[in-house]
Amino acid sequence: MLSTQQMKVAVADDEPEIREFLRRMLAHLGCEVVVSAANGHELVQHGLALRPQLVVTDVRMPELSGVDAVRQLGQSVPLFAILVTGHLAEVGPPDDLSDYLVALLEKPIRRRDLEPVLVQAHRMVREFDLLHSQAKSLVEARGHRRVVERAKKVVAERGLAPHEEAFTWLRTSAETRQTTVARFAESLLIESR
Amino acid sequence: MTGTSGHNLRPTRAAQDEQMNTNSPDPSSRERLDDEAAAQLAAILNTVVDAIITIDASGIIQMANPAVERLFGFTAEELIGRNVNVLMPSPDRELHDQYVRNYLKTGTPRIIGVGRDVLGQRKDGSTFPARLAVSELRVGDSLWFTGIIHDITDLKAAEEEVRLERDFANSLIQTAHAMILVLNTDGTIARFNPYMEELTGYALSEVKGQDWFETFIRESDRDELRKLLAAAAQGKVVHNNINPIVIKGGRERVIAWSARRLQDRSGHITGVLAIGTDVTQLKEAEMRALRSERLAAIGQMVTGLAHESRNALQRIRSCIELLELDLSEDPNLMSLLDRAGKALDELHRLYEEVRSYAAPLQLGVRTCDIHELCRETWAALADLHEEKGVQLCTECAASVSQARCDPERLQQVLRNIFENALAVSPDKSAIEVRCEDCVIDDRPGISLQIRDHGPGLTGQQLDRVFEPFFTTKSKGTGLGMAIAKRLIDAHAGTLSMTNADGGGARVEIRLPR
Repeated sequence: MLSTQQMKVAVADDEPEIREFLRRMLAHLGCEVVVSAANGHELVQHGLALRPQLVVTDVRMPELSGVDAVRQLGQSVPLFAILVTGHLAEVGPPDDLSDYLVALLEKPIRRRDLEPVLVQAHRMVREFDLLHSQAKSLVEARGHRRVVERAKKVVAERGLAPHEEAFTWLRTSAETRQTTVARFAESLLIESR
Repeated sequence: MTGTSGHNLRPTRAAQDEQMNTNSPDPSSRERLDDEAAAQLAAILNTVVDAIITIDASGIIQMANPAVERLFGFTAEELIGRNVNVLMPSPDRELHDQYVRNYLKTGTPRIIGVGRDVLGQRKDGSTFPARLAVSELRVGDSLWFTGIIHDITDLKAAEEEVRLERDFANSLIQTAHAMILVLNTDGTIARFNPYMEELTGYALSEVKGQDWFETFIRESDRDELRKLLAAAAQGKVVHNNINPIVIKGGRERVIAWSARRLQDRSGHITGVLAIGTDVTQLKEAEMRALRSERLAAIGQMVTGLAHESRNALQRIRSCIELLELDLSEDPNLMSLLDRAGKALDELHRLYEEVRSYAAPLQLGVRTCDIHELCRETWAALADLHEEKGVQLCTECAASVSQARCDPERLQQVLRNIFENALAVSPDKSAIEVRCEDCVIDDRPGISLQIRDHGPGLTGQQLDRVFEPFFTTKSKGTGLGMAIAKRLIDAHAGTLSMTNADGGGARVEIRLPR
């Protein structure tokens, strides 16, 4: 089970049974499902109003696809996405969604596929919340995140902390130096070149 | 004419009648009769086609008829008084006198009354084949001989032609890559040609005289084909009748036959001659083309089906998972859900198998260690082989065990092969894997052979093992080996299956390096 801090999740799929499944399973796994959309339009519309932190959406839906909906929503809402597809071999992850993408799952989705991915999503959401609070805008925050991800690699490579704890290390180091995580990460990268 | 009664030649009928009509033998009329008889005889001698020569006991020619000039080039005048051996080539020329002397001494006829083929020599030195007939005649106290020489040049030429044709026909029969079969009217085998021995695996001596239908024809076809033989013997021309024959070992070949009856000189029907060509491969190619069209259609349909079914599968999966959430307290219900879930997994795997057979292939080829892939695949099947105690024995005789392949696909192939082998392997037996160098299409390759100690396969099974949907198991799609073949073909390799010496089946994969 996840921590008590519940993630706000939006689900989108044109099949009602699958929506139902995702809604109930995610709730069971500790999420707060705030949006249940049948197509991309609904996802964007409700998403703008209710601002989910994580979107679990089918890639292909009528009218507006899940991928396009995530692109649109992501302009103004700080979110991450789990994409669901029927054809893993044929559809690779879209390049421009690398900022948002937690995982690409293949149908049929099972509970045991969701659990580890949710754990990862939760971590990513928490980290991004902090970065967003320290940044001037959503766009800037996303940029900072890219820097921080690179810094995490360096931290792990230099043996300063294991990868899963790299963010925590960066955060505490930044606090000590009374600076933002992003700025500290940047300096670390400059130093290590 | 050539009797030994000397010059007593019988007069003609007319002369006889005249003699009888006269009451008394009148010397002048008898003379007249003799003259007439002599004139007739001379006319006969002058006009016969064959050469007639008489010689005395020393071999000197006494008389020669005009035909002699046509045959030998000498005139009668040139010959009379000369030794008859002038008309013979060596060695007969030198030996003839001896022949005559031997006869006179022993009385044993060599040629007299027997007739013989000899060579005659013409005036210009050329020779020709002749039939010689010799007889004796008495002239007074002397013994003379008459020879009739019949030019058989044309006959010999005709014989030679016949002999050449017969040789040609025999060569055709011996060397033709067509089956040439002669059946007796009762259906027993009279003879067949070497090509047929090769194709059927039987030497003629093994089956000559046996009933063709009992030996080579499937039981279900016998009646019909016996009737066809009878019709052919009646004179019906059989053209392009296609039927399978059973060769040594039980395998079948499909043959297209043409047949007609054989008659001897008196018109008696001696049997039926059948010429067959092996159309097995042609038929197989036709069937393959048909099957592949049908399969392409089925493949498309099933791929579509599998695609559409994904959503339904997902929905069932979702419901099962949700039920598991709600019913986690009740072990019985959870057990039912578990079984439903497993059945769903199987369904999913079946769809995946069909999809992987029918969907277009994209290989990710790189250099892999084949030996290593085998061991990995085997390890992944631990559940199956540990329970039965079956061991894997590997032997690598190849210079290197690398080859270019798509490792995932090759593992799929190996898994199929291992699963099949394990299904038939007795407990505690071994599955042997051997790799060695080989040549494929004139290029270096690696040959991987996997052999089990099960019962092996029948001839029919071996023929069909790579056919889609063909299976000897009670469960399963029958696609495993068809998929394996498809994958290996896509690698430009070959996949084949035979029975191993000492029992069990052997699968051979050949891949280019």
